[in-house]
Amino acid sequence: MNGKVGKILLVADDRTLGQGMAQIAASLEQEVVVVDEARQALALIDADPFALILFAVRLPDMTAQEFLSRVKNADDVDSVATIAIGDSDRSMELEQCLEAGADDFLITPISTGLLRARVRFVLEQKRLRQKQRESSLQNPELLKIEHDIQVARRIQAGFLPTELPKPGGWDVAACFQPAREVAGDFYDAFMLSQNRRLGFVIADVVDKGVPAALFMALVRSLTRAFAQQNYSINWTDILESNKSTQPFARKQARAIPSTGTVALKNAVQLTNNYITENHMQDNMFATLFFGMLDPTTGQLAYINAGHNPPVIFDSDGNLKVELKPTSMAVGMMPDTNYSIEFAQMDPGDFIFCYTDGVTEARNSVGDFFMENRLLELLARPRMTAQGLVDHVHAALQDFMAGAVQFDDITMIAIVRQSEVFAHS
Amino acid sequence: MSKVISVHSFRGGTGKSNTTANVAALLAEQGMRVGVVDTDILSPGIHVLFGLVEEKMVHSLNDYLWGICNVEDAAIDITANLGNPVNGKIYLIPSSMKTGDIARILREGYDVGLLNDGYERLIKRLNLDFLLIDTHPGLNEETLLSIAISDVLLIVMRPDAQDFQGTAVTVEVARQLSVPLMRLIVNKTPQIFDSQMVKQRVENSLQCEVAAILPHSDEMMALASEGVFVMKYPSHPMVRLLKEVLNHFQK
Repeated sequence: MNGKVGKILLVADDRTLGQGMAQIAASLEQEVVVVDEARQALALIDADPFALILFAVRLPDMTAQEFLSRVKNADDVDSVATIAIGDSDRSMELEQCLEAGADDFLITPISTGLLRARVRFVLEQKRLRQKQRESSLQNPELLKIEHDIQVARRIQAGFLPTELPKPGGWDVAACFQPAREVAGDFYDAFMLSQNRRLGFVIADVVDKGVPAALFMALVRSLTRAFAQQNYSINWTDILESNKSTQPFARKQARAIPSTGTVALKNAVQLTNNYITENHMQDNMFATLFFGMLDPTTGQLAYINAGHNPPVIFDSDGNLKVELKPTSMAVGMMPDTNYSIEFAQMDPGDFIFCYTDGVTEARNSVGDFFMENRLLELLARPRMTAQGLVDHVHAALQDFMAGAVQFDDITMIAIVRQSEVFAHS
Repeated sequence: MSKVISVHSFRGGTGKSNTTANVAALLAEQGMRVGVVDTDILSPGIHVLFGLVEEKMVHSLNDYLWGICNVEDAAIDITANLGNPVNGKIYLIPSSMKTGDIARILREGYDVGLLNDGYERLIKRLNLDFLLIDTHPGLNEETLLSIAISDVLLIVMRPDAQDFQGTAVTVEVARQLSVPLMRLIVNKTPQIFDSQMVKQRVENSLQCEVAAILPHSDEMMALASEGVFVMKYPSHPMVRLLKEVLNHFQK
């Protein structure tokens, strides 16, 4: 370390640190200005920039958090580094300082060797940050990439439905919170079979960032387009094999198309065929749930291709059923046969679909949100679809408070209004 | 228990629609409530036999498939057009004769699952004893679906080498779809043929029971589809043969 990196400001007094300021300053082998109070420090910062500010979490004239926020306002966020100092009883306050943007912390009594190492590390980090910023500001290539990503983000947002269909007696809401600029999750909802069915999709591409976003665009477009094809596949396959070892199970209406099931099967199966034929080398796949709901009867036909099981609750908040995966994820295996399953939604019931960004959200100590926490949140008497989504979203934000979001968070809630509710 | 009966022939011109209309009329005569669906959407025709003029077609099966109306809204009570009073009812769900409508089906197709749900709804809404499906000749998806959900499949053929081969295909398909009751009706049999010999030959080669050998009839030809034969000629020997067909699924 040498003098080139700039001056250091130390905001503390001998009493609060229980150590001699002079000794600390001397050990840093660098120009150190020592002040007792926060206000003095802020005045100095205004006049002349410092490379690093060391400050005690207990200041005589201001809370450490306020001091920190004023430092950050007075200066460019990345050009000044900050280290909070406190004794081991002040761990809560130290944590708060870190959340408020302090780069690091030190516990008193301070050993000079540790102090020097910590200062060197923080200043080096600051230097790298600055260099990165400068180069990205100057580098037209990086600026272009940044611009492209912003455009990609806007285009991707356009893949999500601007308005959700709401057939009479039903209430639909969704939430989408990408972990980065672009996401690998998506949701979709649209009417099919001449407004007779509500189709809805939730999917999660197994990767993050730009590759996942590109793949998401492909899967979303293919499922939507194939769902609108009327030609049917598969159930007539029985005629192609001359073996006919298994006689056709009559009146097992599942094999015979009913309204919307051709679209459902086409959407998932043809998308899988396309991806496995053309993109196998990319090793990308998506877990996907596609529901086909009859708004008149509440019958739900669905395919769950390896996705987290959506859950159906009744109006009293009892879990009725988990719609477990019926087959492998889309894009994994050529010629996968996606069979259709059925579930029933009675008046007052709701279905909640989500991606693993919800259950695998982590808090600041690395714990997962987990499925049982989600199920507890959902197990409550009737709410609106938006209310459900907001309720879970708020709980997630509380849980993650301050922690980094690792994965995209996507949810859809669909409520079948009870008769009384629907007519009021 | 209501029954779904599909009437099919592998090739056109076998008298499939005439057979459907006659069976429907005989059932209505017994006091049954009968629905007749014309799923021959690309070449509709059975409405002519029931004396339905295009202007009276408010809605058609096409409108149902396109979400314009419910399937029962396309049903027209044509009982009065039979010419003779009957105790039962016949409701016809016709297909549209408009060129544009047929073109639209060719262009867009339709959700074939709607047919399955539509049949079920018709039976319930119109309280039907029998639902007769007049299918498109050959094998296409809606025909396969109709056969797959039928309780009874009547296959109409002529004693002709082309029909023999084609009917063999239909019989095979129906077996794979496990239709509970399948019967052949040999139509337009030349008068010089011996009925018993024709019956034996057909049954032997197709391994399927024959419900009737219907002779070629000049009266039927002369009627030229302007009415339902069993109503116009109630004492014609052909009527007795057709009534025997009913015995196969009304036992």
